[in-house]
Amino acid sequence: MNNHRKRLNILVALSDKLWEDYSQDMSEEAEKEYIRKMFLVKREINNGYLKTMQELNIFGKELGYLILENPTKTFLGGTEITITTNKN
Amino acid sequence: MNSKHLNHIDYNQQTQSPEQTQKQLIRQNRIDRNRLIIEIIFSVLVLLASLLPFLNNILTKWIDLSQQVDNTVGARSLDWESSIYFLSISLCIIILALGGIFRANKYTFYACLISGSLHMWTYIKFVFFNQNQISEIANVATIVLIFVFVGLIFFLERYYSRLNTLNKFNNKTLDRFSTILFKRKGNE
Repeated sequence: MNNHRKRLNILVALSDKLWEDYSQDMSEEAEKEYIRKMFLVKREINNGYLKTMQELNIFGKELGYLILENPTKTFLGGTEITITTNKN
Repeated sequence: MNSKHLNHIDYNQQTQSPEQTQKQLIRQNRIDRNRLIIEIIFSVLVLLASLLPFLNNILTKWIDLSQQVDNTVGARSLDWESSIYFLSISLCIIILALGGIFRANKYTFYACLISGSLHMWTYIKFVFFNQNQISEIANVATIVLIFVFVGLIFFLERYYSRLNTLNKFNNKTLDRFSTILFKRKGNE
């Protein structure tokens, strides 16, 4: 898969993961946290400041997530992306 | 009123027993498998369809197709080669339509794009030029042109799928933010 598209897909998956974590908690703090992190992710998706995978990994770590790529190939092309929480 | 709102929002938090989850997973697997089988079958069909326009040329290598078909009306003379050509073109279009409906792998359509362009080029040569008068340079240039065309289509498709991803992301985000807004209104 193209690198640019891969980064975009990872960011979208990250936003899904953020929502998943928020909907497990649903508290006031989690809501604030979700909106703050989501704002950052949305900015990165719309502006595309992240030029390399290295930068994306650092960005994920700042939000408290570890980006792991699962090498299973799906039929429709592309690698599956899994994102795990980094309990810091 | 308040609790009703919360019930509406808490759809993500529904707790399920392990057996239920297991059952759901099995059903999901079956759905995925069936979908995959259908997609693979139609992808293979689309790949085969890319060979169909040249089917008569391929078959003549092994079988003698020069016998006449005894048709009484229509064309004055019709041999098996032409009739296979006529049949395979319409079959090709039908398979392409089916591949579009059942979501064949998008890269298989590039094979059809290339074979269709080559096919069209051979027929342009056949209709408008004397085969002997066309130079080698023109032949090579046309093939290069075809590949440039396919490459442009490839880039356009990538751009389109990127727009699609962004559109889906924006819609999902709007949905989620409006859920939060509704929850806040319910708390007040």
